[in-house]
Amino acid sequence: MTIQENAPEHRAAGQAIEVADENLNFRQVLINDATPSGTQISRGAGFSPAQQTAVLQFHPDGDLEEIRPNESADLSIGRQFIVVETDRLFFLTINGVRFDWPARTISSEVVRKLGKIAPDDELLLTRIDQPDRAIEPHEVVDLGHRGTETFVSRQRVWKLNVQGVVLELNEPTIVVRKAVELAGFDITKRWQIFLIVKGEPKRAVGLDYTVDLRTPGIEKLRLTPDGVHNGEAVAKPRRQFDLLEVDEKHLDALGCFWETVLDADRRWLLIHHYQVPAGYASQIVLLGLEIPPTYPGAQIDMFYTSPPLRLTSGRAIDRTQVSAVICGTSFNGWSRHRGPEAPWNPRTDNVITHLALVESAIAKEVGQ
Amino acid sequence: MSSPVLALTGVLYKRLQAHLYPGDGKEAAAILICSRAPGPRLRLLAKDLIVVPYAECDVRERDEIYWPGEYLEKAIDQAEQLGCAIILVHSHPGGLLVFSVADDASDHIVMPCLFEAGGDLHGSAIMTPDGAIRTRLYDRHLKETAVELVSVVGHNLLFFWERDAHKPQRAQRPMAFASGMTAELNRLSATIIGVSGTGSITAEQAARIGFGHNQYIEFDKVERKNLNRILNSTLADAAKGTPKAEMFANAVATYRGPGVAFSVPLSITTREAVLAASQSDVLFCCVDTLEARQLADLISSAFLIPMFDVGVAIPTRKKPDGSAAIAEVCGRIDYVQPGRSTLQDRGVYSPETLRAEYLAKSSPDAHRAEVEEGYIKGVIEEAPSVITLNMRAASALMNEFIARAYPFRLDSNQKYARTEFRLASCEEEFTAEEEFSVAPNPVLARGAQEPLLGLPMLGNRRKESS
Repeated sequence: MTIQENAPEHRAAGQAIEVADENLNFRQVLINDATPSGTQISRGAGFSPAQQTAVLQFHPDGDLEEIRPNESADLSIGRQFIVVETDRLFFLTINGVRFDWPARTISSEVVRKLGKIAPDDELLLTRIDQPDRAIEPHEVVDLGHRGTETFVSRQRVWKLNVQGVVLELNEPTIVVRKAVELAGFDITKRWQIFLIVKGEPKRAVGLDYTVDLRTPGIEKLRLTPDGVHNGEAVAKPRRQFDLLEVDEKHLDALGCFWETVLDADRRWLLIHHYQVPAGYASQIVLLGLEIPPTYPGAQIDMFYTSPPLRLTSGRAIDRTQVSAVICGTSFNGWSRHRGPEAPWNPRTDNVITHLALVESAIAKEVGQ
Repeated sequence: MSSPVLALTGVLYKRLQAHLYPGDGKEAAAILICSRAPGPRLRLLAKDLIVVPYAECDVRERDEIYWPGEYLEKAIDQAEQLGCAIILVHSHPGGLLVFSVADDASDHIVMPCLFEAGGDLHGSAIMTPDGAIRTRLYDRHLKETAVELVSVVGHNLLFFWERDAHKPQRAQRPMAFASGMTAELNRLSATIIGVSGTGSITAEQAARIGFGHNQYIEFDKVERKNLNRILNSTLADAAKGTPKAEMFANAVATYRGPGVAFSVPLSITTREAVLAASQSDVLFCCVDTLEARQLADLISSAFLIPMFDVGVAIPTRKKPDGSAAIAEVCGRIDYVQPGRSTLQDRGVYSPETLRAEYLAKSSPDAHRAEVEEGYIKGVIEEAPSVITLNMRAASALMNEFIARAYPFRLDSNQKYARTEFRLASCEEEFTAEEEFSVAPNPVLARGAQEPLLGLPMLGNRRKESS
């Protein structure tokens, strides 16, 4: 009553504020003061004067600031408060932002709310001399140890093993076709594909099946050829047009699986499982060279890969934006051309010499 | 073995003649290594020349020569790799274009040895001081066949006929535009590649001046829009969509009779069409793509056939008010002789422009992207040509052939490898053979070796498709 009498200008209409406990459950409280003190807020929240409370005000940027018992809070900054019975504050940082926390424990949900962490991102507690620890849902962290607890979040990475190739994915679901392609397998081949889940019988899946990586126990996608062909020619390559005899001998000698295919009016040499050096996201690609009909009179130029080659460094590769669809599969083309000082010579140039250019262009991007 | 032909480039013929006639009046010897064009006509293509050095001959007289057998071995080594025929040539400085008793006796000793080493066809030849050549071939049973025609494709076209061997004038060319020319043409075979704007006019001239065998290679069909410029095409042909090649052969039959004109209604990029072209004595190339010109160029080189190529264009320009105006009215005639500069050497096409043309046809989007990227230079669209220009160009083309086969020019033909005329500026320009540089030509006298012309697309398929 004394306060009301001494400060009649503050008795105006009731001020609505929100008060939360340490679990951030907010409720509305009415306070008859536009600049309430820490004590007033504590009282308004239902604590008796005998109880030792900490009052924290949320700032618009998410920061928490302590309001001491006889310090006035500016409601224009924010109307959300945490009021918890405690005799001291604990410190933590979330993604580099420091928070004062009035309770000795904090749940992972509260850390996520405080730090505005996306539901799909991972929450980690960093530790000294030990690997960071993932904080699971509903887990409660004790802040009572010496030092400041440091939380970080990161984009969740989902792993999927495709026939021994481990894909790291940022989306929790993936279509089988894409997974198989990303792992560098030729989806035009006929595969039997199985999804292996721990403790469950293997399940045959089609190319259009969507794998949910959040399902516990997912181990891998396993591929088996749709039939086992013993003998030297494991799979029958398409040979829809001929190359020069030296080219064919060279490709055979490399031991690679190659095909010549006609797609509409275009003619392609496809080299499967073409290996590229470290530094690229996929190490094995399908390589396409376009062979004009009057090759080697007409030159081979550029080259195409599927999937598109991406550098693990994240740097974009210059002049690789041309795209082409070859027999239904998307490729991207590398605009790599012979300069005027080394023009195509039909007498000496062929698939072999062009492959040398391909190799050096790919190696150049990773500094080899 | 029906009416065999031996073809030589002018370059090789000149070397042979210089070696056989060094000026001392004595006999000399050389060896021709010959590949073969595909059948059915037996055309031997002189690929290499081995000369027997004068100093190494045991005997060299006015009427006798005896040379060491190690040169036979050299020839055998070269010939066996590609199954080539070996033809032994020597000179008869006395001018007798007849195989002598000594020649017969010698052949009967040497030929069995050659067959022992390999091959199923070898022969011998003689050259007289006037440059005439007479050749005979042997099979494994030493059965003798005379070569009907020895053709030399140089700055001038020379034809030495077996049936004229006894005539004193055998090495002289008949006079142009006269009956002698018509009579000889009746023995020759011409292939016209493309029977449209310029091609039909060229074909008409070839049939009227008297080629005995006329062949038209053209995949397209007659349409109404063609009637303003294709000779002999009719409304009925357009209505029926008659293949142009067939239409033209039928028309020629109405004035030359049967057995003179033949249609090959296929693209020149097919194996069948290339094989058909390989049979001819002269090629006329009247096409509108670089790809087809490349094929004609390679056919000429591979089978040692003289080639006459024609192109017309009417480039336009934009006037300041935005309307179009004629920039020039151009015609180009190239005479290509195997062994010297090709159309590729002359820059008519290149590996880059061939690929660009393929891309423009097969994937216009990709082509546009590369043009925008600046990699492919904008291609000049050939303007739709008109019959007046076509006739001028086709006439120049056929006159170029006549000038080569029945020389009438005051100056040497060597100076006219290319003729360009421009009707707007009223200019005519000539380029001499020497002005073009010549790159090594691996297709030269390639003959029937697979893949045809060195292009995998024309080969016998090695791998079956699936």
